[in-house]
Amino acid sequence: MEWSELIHHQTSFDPGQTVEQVYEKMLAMGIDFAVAVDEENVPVGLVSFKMLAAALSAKYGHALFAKKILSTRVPSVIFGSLATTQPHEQMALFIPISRAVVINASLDFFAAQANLERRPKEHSFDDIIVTSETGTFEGLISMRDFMKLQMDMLRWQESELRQRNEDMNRTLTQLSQTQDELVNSAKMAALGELVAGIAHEMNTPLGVLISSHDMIEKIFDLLTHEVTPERRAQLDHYLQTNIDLGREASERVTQIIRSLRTFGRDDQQEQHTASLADLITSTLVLLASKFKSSITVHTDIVEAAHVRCYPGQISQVLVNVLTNASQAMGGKGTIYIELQRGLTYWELSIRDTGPGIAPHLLDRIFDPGFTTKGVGVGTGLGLSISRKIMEQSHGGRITVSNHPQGGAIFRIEIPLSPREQDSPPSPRTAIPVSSSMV
Amino acid sequence: MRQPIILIVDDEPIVTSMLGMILDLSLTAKVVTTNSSLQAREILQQGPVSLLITDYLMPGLNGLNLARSLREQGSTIPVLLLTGYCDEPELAANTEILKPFEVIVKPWNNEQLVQRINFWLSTLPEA
Repeated sequence: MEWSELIHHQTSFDPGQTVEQVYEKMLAMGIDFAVAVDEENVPVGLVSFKMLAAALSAKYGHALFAKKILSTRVPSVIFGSLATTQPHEQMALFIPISRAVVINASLDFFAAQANLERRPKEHSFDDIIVTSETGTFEGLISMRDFMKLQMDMLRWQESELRQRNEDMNRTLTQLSQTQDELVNSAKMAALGELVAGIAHEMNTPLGVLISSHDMIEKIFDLLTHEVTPERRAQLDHYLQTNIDLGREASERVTQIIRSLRTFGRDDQQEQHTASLADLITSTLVLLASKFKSSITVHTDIVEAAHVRCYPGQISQVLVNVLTNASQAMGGKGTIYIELQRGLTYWELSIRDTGPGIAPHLLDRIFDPGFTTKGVGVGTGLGLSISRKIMEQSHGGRITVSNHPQGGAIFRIEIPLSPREQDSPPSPRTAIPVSSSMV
Repeated sequence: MRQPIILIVDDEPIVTSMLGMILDLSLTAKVVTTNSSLQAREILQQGPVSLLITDYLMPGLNGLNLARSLREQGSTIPVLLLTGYCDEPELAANTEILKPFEVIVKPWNNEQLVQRINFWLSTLPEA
């Protein structure tokens, strides 16, 4: 609804009319306010029915004022405190235009409202005179209607605000969903790259497992025939070897599957207690075939390091950083993994023997989409997602610097569980594990 | 006929142990195994190996490069690549050079493996 629809039009009169004439006209029309306009239809003042009634019904009022024209000044005492606080001032029976509330019909509601706020204080509850842009009279709006409209507008604004708030919240939820999806799709991309290698890692023990089964069958078959004692001893030995190899092969397959499950786990719902040492080991199992041909891994991990975390996400970070290290070294070199307990954090450092990172790129390496690898090699999301996982999901950190002896070093910090923070670190009695491959 | 010598190369001891046993029970050939492809290269340089069975992915030198070094020495013995995974373009680029050459995919089947080995041994010239 247009606010200007509130305007009443039939409310003007010639200021040369007498008080009685105007009073009767307003009485007939049932209006509280009317506007006096000059011959050019420009408002000159506002008349209140209440003021006319007060003047005419005062003692001798009718006799004194009925035949006077509206611009006649009357002592203000007649109107009491309604009109003025100056008891002896002579008042015209209508409110001069300079003191009335006038707004322009071409203004929009909010501009009109702003104009209204600058209205003369003593006429706050008079009707509002509406003029055209050229200043001619358009009509009156009752203050009550205007106030009602203002209230409606406020309610509308409020609901609009609420709606916008809801939209914003929805967008925020969608955004965080998109982020989760991004983390997941990056994980799937990483997994895709690992699949061929993992297949190789699985096929080796599987081949042995299937073979051992066939062999045991064959050996039993041979044993049912007449054999020399030497042959028999040899077959017995083979039987035992087959059983041992079969067991070792199944353990290897189990370990790979366990590592895959840790990595693939959708654990965004809640944190679990997991050992960082185990997570490192299982990540290295996944990367084994990728690293096998020409990367040596040295690990220095003295404690199991149990933390509350999302194990799948931590594996994802480890895969990202380790893959990055391997690519930085062109697939050849050494990776040093060290896990140490700090005062409030577990600090995991992963150092490679690659060319390091150009100083001007150190700040940008965690930016989404940043990559120095060729098209199709990386998504440029791995490290930015790793940072999100460490900071937002774990309250930890991931930073990078160049090692004084060359190569890049990533430091990953994961908060100690509150229980571990209370207990002193265990002495470093264990012998550091240093192996070429876990 | 001189007893043929089969060299098996795989960095996984469980694989070489298993293959050694299978061939020992199924063939009359002499079987030599090693878990290092670099050591395998030395053995190939020194001795009269009749057939090479090698894994692809190994530290140091991969199976294809080992086979190539063999061909570069002028050897024409059959090569069996026994692998769970191989870089396809690299494989395609080498197949012609490496002939006589066959790829056997892990996990293998004992019977078929022995059959293929017997076939390749049968192609060897009588000594």
